[in-house]
Amino acid sequence: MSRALHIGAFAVATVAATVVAGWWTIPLLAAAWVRALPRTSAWACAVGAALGWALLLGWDATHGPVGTVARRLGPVFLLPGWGFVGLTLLFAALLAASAAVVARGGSHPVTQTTSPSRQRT
Amino acid sequence: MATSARLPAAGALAALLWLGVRGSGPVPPLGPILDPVRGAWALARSGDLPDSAEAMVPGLGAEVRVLYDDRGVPHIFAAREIDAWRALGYVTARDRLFQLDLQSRAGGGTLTELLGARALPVDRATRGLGMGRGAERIAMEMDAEKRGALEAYAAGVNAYLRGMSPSELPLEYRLLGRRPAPWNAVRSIQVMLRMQHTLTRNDVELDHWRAAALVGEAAADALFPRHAPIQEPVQPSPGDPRRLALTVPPPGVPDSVAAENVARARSTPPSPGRWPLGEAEPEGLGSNNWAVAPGRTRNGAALLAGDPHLDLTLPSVWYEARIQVPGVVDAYGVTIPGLPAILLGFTRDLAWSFTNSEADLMDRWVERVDDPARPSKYLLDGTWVPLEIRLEAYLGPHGDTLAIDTVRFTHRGPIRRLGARWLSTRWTALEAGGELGALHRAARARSAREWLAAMTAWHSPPQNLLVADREGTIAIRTTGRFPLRAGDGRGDRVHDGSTRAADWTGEWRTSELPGAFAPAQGFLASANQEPQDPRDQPHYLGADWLAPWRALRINDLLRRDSAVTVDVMRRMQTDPASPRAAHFVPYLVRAAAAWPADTALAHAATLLAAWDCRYTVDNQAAVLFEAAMPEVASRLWDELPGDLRPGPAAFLALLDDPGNAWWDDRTTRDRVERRDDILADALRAAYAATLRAHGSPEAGGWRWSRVHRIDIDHLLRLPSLSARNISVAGGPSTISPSSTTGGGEGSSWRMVVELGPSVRGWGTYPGGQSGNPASARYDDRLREWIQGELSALRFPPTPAGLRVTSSLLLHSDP
Repeated sequence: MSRALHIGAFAVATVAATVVAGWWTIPLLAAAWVRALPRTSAWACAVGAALGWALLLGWDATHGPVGTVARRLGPVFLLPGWGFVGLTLLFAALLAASAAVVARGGSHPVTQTTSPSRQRT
Repeated sequence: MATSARLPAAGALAALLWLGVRGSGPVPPLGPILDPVRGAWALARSGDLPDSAEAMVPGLGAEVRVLYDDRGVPHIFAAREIDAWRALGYVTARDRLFQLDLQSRAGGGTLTELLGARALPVDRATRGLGMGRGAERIAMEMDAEKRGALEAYAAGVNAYLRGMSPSELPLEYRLLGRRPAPWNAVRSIQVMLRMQHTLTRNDVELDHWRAAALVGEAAADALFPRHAPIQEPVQPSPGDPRRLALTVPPPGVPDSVAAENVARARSTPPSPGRWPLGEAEPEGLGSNNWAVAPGRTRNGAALLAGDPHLDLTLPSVWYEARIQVPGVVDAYGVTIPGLPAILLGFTRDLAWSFTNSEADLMDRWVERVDDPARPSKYLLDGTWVPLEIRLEAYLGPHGDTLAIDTVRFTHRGPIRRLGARWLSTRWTALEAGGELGALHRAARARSAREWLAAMTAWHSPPQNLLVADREGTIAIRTTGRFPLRAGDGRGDRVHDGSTRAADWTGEWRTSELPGAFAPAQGFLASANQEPQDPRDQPHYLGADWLAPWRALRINDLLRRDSAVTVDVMRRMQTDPASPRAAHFVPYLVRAAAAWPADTALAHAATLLAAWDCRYTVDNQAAVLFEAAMPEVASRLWDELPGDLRPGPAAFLALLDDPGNAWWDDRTTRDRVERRDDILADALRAAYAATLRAHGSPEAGGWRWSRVHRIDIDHLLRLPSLSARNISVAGGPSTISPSSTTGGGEGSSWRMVVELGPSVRGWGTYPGGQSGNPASARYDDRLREWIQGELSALRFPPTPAGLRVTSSLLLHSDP
């Protein structure tokens, strides 16, 4: 599976997991994902999780003023509105990446999974 | 490599999960906020009300239909009044859940459970004043009608809580990492107590005590006199406004008995209100109402206007709603979230509005106790009587105990140590009244007379109740429970608590209450002034009254206009003219004239002399005047600490007594200053300070709109959820008063009603119906309020006449 497919698939899984149960499923999903598909990189999980939440934010935006939420909440975290969007995506990405690295274990170091993938593309 | 990567990753994951679940320090739990489905982002989806919705509310006797109009106002159509209160609880929680919770906690002294230890001083003050116990006792003594309404309202709130989806959890709970608590009848009473605290708490006897400690009893008496300096009472008095003579004795010898209490301000915990004990009330507070009989209106219909002034917050203290129960009530107006009633508004027959009476309803007694360190008994008529002991535990957000206080009560009320003495407090707010029942019955009245009769049961907080009906009757009555005191009858002195003979002896009869019914003058107005000319009223009602500047202006405008219109009433609500400035400016200008060689002083005087005493946004002199007045006060009252400022009576009297020793500046031992020395010096200092702060007046830096800004803060004071730096016309003591430097007090609701063949209302408040900051209804009325505009209030007789934007069907079956 190409890296783009890994990312896309993980994004879809992230959307489903978040909708069904909530934000806390992301690390569980990432851990399970890299166990089931050892060639998936932590980086791909991170990008996939961020992409999944970006899709959800996009869906939110079609149903209400997401920009207003960002503009009002960003300053609460000492961030501009777009910074609050970035924080959201970063949170998902870090949850997924850290869980992926932890779950991979000693037999599947990060560098071994990312290199072949790069060679194929 | 793998191990070296896993360890930091595991640490990062643990930290992220911790941040996600618990947060850290000022960072709230991030998971429930950043989750795009159930987190704060979901507030975007719930910002707009759905086109239609259904919900279950247990206990409803029949379906209730709620139609939201194009201003976001719920119109509740119910078959039974009790069901209407259930529905009101539901829709209020839907829009204002966090506000409900916060306000009741503020009134009950349980803010720590929501906000943590930082709220402990405020909670301690609240419970130390007996408000926690008071709410419970009032709930126990409630009659069935009132209890029924409160429980119905609670059922509505709790039905919303049970059916609320995770995505609808208000933002504030997410930021605090908390959940809303269930509602009950006691919590509604706590909301009422909170409002009573805002409106009726006073420390007039303690201020008098402190002043006596410093300058002697005789001077203190004059600094805090019993009556307003200018009489323009709520109950119309014949003739022009009357000045009361007041002689202010020079500062005298300190009173040693009172001196020990001077430390009070340092030893007393902060008030649960916005300002600490002993400070002057914010100058932006001050409510108005007035009514005009048909003979003085252009359309020949009675008109009524009301604009209560309170702390301005987002969301607003008010929530607009309409209740229609066929054959029983059809009322439109504003309710306070937490209370099952329309407090200010109108029906098909009449309209009403309140202003605060400013009466003295809180007295203190010095008690003799068995053990000054840990008292358990107090002396009463020669017998040691056990104190009621109540342990008040303050819980943190996670149920942990932050502190436990022992609060003691005499038969009068809570007892607290102030300085070296123990003082008990009796406060009418802590005693059961019939306010809700009165409001419910009054909303069914068909005439002003019936309305006033129904409102007789209103006890606290005492209000100037103004009503106008479609028959053209206008009436006003200062209504509430006013205690009769023993001895000289005054409540502005600390009493001896060792005998029951010093207790309150009764209360005013209804026939003794100040008021007027269909007065010949054709108009009525109240603006927190002394309600009755002292010549007409032997009983003590209060002391240290506000100067009636706003009442003077309102009555002047109404007196001069015999064809009043709705638009005139609306414009009056933001009238920027200041009788206060008009009174004081000539004194400053005349004082400056004695120093013609002082060019700066002359320039300042020229600016003031040219000012029309209107606080318009573009005037350039108000900033100078408002800088000069505190300078005068600090020089005049240099014998007193900065947080002890006499009211306007002594100041007005001293202006006409230029050689009084109070004018002397104590720091200049080689000379004795007179009034004009002080006024000129104050103006000189104010001019220099204004130049430093705002540059040259010719450069435009003195424009009132650049200097005078108000803040409407979010309930948690989060800047991005607040509306700050708002420029509005008006200043201290204008009809729409606001403070000189920042602050957030002002007109919390403006309403004008025309009682013609059909009743029509206009109104607005600063904010919006929704407490959700993502909603367009969060602050959609702000612009209108700033501009002094009003919206037509939708009040068609049937639902068919409404422009419905959302509907909600409430039923009791699953």
